[in-house]
Amino acid sequence: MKLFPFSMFVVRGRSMIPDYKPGDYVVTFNWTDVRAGDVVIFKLNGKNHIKRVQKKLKDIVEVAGDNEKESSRVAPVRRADIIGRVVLLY
Amino acid sequence: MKLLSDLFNVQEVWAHCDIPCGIYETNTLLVSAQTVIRMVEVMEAIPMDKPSLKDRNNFIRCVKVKEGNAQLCEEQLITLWADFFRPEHLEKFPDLHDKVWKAVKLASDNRQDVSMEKAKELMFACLAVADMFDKVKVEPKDNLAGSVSDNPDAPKKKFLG
Repeated sequence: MKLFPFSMFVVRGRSMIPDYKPGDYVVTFNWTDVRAGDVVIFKLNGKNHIKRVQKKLKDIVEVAGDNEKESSRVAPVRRADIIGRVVLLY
Repeated sequence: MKLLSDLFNVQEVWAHCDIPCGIYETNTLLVSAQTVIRMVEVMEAIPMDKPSLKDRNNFIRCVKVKEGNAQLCEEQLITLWADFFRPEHLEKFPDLHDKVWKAVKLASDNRQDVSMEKAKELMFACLAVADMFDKVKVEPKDNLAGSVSDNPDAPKKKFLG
């Protein structure tokens, strides 16, 4: 279980436009499971990424960016690598 | 909201498409540049003096394909520059930024213009970037055809299939 229930991030990059633009701040709730349609933040290769959940399998979640021009690939992420689900955008 | 920012340790999060694939290649870039040349060739051959309806139709189709492929060139170049090339590559190729910038500018020029000279310059510029890529790419573990590099930092295990 993650130590802190909430985390805050600032968005860089354009693959989640129009909902999440570069410079937007997001807050995640980390003590929760995720479902298809949720926007999640996960860590991969030491870097945090923000994507939307397309499908949830056993220990794997398939994610993709909203902006198809920037991110058209669906890709797998381990459930354990997910930091939290975005609950606040400002 | 400033209070929230002050309370939390705000980290950066990347909304970018480079995460899980981690595979880079230059085939798409070079084919797109070649397509721009081909479209300019075809467009230059279409008669401008009293063009038929078919001529006009073909011209518009060529414009669309040229525009799309020049844009694809731009996107591929920026992806390679932002995601594939690393700081250590700059030591090997001190003019890396210049070469990519020049190629991106040429891609944009080719959208705005119909010029065989500029189309060929775009091709040469893309070849120069592809050449740098080929010199530093990591051979993929799977047998992938073409000029493809695997991401040395990609997860070692395959998650699916």
